[in-house]
Amino acid sequence: MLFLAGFLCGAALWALGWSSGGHLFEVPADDSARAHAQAAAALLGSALVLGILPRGLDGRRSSVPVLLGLTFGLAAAGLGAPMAVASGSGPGAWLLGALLLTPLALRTAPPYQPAVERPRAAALLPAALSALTLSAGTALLARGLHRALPADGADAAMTWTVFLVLACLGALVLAPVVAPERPERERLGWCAAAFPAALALGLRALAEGTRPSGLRDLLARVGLDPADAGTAAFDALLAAAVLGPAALITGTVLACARQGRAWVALGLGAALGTALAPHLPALLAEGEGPVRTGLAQALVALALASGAAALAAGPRPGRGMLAGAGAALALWASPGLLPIPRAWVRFPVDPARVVEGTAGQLWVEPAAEGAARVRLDHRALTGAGGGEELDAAVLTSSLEGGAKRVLLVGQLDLARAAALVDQGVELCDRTGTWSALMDDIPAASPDPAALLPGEVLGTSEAWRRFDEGAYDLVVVMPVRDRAARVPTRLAAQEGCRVVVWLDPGAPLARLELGEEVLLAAAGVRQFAIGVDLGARAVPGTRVPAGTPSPRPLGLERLLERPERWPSRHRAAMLERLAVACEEEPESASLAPFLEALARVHATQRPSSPFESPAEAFELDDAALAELVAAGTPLGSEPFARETLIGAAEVLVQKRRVAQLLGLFEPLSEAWGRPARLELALAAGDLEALDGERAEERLDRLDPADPRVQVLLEALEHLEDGH
Amino acid sequence: MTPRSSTRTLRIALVALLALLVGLPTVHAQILRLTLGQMVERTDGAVIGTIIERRVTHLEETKDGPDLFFTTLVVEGEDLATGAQTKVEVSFPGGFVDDETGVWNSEAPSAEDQRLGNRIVAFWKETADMGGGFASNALYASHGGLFRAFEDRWGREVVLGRGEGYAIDHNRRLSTLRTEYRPLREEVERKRKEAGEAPR
Amino acid sequence: MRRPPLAAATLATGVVALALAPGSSSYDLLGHTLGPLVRDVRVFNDFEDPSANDNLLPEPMFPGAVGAPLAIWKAAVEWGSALHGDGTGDPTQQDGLGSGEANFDFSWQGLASGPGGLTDNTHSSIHADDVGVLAFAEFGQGGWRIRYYENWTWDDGPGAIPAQHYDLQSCAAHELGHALGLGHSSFLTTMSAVQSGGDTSKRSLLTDDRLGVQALYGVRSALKPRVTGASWNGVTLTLTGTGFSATNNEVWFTRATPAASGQIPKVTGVPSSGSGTLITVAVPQDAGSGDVLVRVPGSSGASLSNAWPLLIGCQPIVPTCPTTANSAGPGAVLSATTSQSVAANDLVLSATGVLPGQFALAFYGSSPASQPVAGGTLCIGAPLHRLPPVQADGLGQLVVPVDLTAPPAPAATIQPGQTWHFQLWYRDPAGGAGSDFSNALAIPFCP
Repeated sequence: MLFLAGFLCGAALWALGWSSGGHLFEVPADDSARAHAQAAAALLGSALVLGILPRGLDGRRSSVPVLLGLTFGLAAAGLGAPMAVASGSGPGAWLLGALLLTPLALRTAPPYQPAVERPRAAALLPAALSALTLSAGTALLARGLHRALPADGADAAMTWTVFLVLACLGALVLAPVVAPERPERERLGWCAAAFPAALALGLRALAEGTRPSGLRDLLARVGLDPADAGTAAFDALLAAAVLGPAALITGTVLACARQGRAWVALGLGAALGTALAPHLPALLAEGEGPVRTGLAQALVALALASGAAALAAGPRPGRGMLAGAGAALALWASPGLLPIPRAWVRFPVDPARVVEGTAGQLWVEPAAEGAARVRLDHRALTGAGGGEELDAAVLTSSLEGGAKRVLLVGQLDLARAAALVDQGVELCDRTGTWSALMDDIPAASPDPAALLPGEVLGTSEAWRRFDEGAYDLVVVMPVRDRAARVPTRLAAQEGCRVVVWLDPGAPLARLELGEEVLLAAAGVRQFAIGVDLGARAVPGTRVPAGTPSPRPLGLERLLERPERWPSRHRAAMLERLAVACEEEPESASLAPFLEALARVHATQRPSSPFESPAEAFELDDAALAELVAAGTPLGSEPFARETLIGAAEVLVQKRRVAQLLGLFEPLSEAWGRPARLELALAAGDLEALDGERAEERLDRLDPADPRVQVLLEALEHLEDGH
Repeated sequence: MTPRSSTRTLRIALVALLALLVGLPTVHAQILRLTLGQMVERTDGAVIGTIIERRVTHLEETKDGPDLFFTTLVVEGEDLATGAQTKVEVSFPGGFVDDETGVWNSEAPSAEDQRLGNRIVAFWKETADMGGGFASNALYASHGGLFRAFEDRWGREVVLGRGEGYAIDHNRRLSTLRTEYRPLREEVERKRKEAGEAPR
Repeated sequence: MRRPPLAAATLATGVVALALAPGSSSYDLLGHTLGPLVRDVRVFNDFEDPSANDNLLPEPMFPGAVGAPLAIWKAAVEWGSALHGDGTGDPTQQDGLGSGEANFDFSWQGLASGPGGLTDNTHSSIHADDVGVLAFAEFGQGGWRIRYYENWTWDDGPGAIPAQHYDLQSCAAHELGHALGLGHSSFLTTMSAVQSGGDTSKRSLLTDDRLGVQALYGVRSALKPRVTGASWNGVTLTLTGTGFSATNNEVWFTRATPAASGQIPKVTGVPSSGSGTLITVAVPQDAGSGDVLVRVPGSSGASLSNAWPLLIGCQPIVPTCPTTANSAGPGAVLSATTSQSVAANDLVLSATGVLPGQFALAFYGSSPASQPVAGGTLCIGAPLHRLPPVQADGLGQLVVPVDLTAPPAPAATIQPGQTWHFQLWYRDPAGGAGSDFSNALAIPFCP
């Protein structure tokens, strides 16, 4: 029964999700501070409830089955069920679960011997402080760990499962040996004294694990490879190394605490620690110049606080020495940590600027031609480095019909600013959960803000202006590989359009997306899904959103390397939309096209770094032929049109001339010979040494177009091969 | 102000078209600069055919260090000089034995070039040791020895050139290529015979 | 209508001009960058061509390296953020070695103990037959490997090379460009695809290459630490520069002994003084001559300084001016046996080819010269300091132990860090002038 209770609680905890995206301005990034605050509120509530429970309940059964049940429940829900959209920013989930179950643990623990101690409330302050350091330290370690992993929920489930397993181990093995005959307060003091050492070990593992050579050595011992990052074994190994010591202490604390008052103190401390966790690095950040982050300082501070709690729990020199040694270890471990790079891509990312805030760690990387790639906890906030065309497509689609005053939920960069200016926007305010950090991003040259007036707003101010009707359009830009929960209803202002764009490379198929979604394409390689929430509709390609898909399961994702998943997520989303279109007469014509496009994305595989993006994009022969056949009747449909013209341009770059001419010549004729398609076909004709056909096409195009001029010049020199 | 995004897109498209038209080098390598004649001199043959098989060999420990990978393409078609039916295996360094084990090599032909079913012209040279003791017909100059071909709308085959410095620099019809190639191959064979070498 | 033949080159020029507006670039990015912790470069010197290892002239800015490793080291520093030392070392580059001007610097790690695995960042040759390829780069997970085909004749320079040789430095610069994340350029720069024999032009980065590395790593930051000098007194190293952190600097060295991978010798937690312009640090045991870099706290490329050459130990003994024939044969040959350590005081001069039974006198001075005297050449400038005379044995051999603690004059005292020139004068009654000179040796002395 206890196990079952634990199992159900674990599953429920995961289902709660602590997922972000509870409101519009949390999308596209998590609101880390908010998620932690929610968890803290739950802990506080639990602590208050525990405070009024009757005391001194006796029992002879162990608390371990409860913890084991919790572990299995969370694992089953997180790994065996469809992937949640949580990013693992809810560390309070485990604390909440553990505390909810502690009354059961109390009731089932063996009777306390010797005589029960009922400490005064003030004497439990050290216990509260130790809980604060334990929860905040664990949350920060987990934050660092998750920055280095694909944050799409499956990895978080594995991390917390490993954590809970080790917590059970701590409760089972360590608790009975921690000063078993001593009062509870002292036992908790010993746990507090050990925490700095645990923190230092976790810090060191994190620092080593994020260096390529260190990671390689670590993984080689168990036969893994850095390329296995994001798979189950890798996640488990790293979670055990980083969070293991803290988990053991957590389990030990849970098993040592016996009294209701102690649990209240622990709960209050844990709540405060959880709420403080995202703020500590920002508060303690030091340094000028390109790097300003305080994660390691925060962890060292917590180690010292834990040591202080150990000492305050009563005069025990051994505890003091242990705490001091641990704090020294933590100090030793911290210098190599800052900041935590994502080391296990082929080569580590090299940022130009790193800043830590409550929203997370902001990285700015130089990209080509003065643009900057901005990431928040390694999620790309801008399109620099391949996504500029999609950004332009998304903004063009959003702005069709015109808008002068725009609120951009996302990072404004030069390309986006230019696209907005192109479409006649006169004012663009920006907001996001990381708005406090937006000014820390070095301006490109010229400064995007100089192109387009507007302010950086906090989310509260953004809401206020939105409610006042200050905007014609609110657009949420897609974040690569990020699928936050999207609000499906919004009380939008009259005349204001609101559209949330999502990257289908994330597991979107799982999401509830309302009745219809928008589609925007930038060629065949990239597209985005839009959720229209405004009072005024956004024009563009609309299709029924379909029903959430049960796949993939969390464990499915963990069994293969994550680099394969974005294209599968895209395929899954397109399949979902295709099924939904089949059921709607108005959209049925799009269904075969979306199915074929799904097949194109399903055939993608990792490519050589020596290939261009076009070369790296697979265009399977059969899938491409189906795509063209299905798309031929859809010449007036913007999404299909852009996708197919993009496919032709990819074929040009791949130099697959026969397919280009064979498939796209009839298509162009059917569509009235659009200029871009004719240009691509003319290039194909030139490759085929067919100057006459190329000339026919080019004669129909605008001679002032530089691209046409290029081909005309080539044509002049072409040898007549007949 | 000129909208930056459309200018950039335009330039990207221009460069892409430029690259395909004049066969500018779009690969990344340190290979020999060769004319067609030089390629013929250095190789043992050329085949025009279809890639019917691809496999990768992994040598774990060799005299040249650990982890050498070689991809072998089986090409079925005709000898470019004589027109005789032939099936030739050609190999080059790099490749993956499975989705996770292998290496990206800066010299290797692109995945697009290696697709099964592609029609290619491949220049090959019988090689006793391509590294690590691996013996095969080397795809000479790696990606520089492989040129894709396709049929135009009249059914005539066109061979895609790779740009200046490559044996086939610009696009030409297969018939033209044969006309250029045959006398070069005959001359090389004649010289080898005079030098007492066995014919290839 | 017959059209003129396709003139690819002409068209290329025209279309390039059309397609690429002034000030634009043609570099290509591969999609990765190298973080500060994976920029080590090492060489497994299994190049068999004599011409790949015949440049034995030590370069002051590249201490401890000759031959193929020296050529590859030069290629690595060319991508660096600033001039390597004073920038000298390549007679073909007028603008000096170190032209990247980005937040990027390789860390030279000397010799490797083998060709290494796919992620060991090692250059080596591959002993294969001619397959039409000069070299290639291989990428594994988190590292690279560069191989040069041994069937070609590689040349380590340092200047112009024969037309049938291939320039190791140029090729290495190209492949290292791939390693740091650059693809191919359609301009004729270091990153262009094909290489011809005898060509050394690709050693030097051109504008397009520089723009490429700056696009990847950012233009060299004003906050990037900069090393402007290094001096070693045998125990501690003193670095001068700017931008050092007040505390917690890391000083990186080159390994003294060959290693397979990783493990850069470092000293961590080093403070600076003089407002971040001076660092004094003990050199670790496993460090050898090579480069020294300083890393300040941070993870960006701008946290790692430029590479500065550092000599640990002595430069080798170099023979200067040859011997001249005497009445008994080809002439006397002077050699030295010594650890070059002043403290060890173990210098012993030996000579062969002296006239049997004749007296000889070794002498030394601080500057070289070349003055015909008495049938031979005096190779040392004044003032000359004479050692006690010795007599050759019946085979014409002699030995001259030199006691550095008892110099013939105060001005002849030999100190660490100095180079002294030694030569032998000997009697040759049957020779026309009655005496002759041996060759001379330049011997650098170290603590």
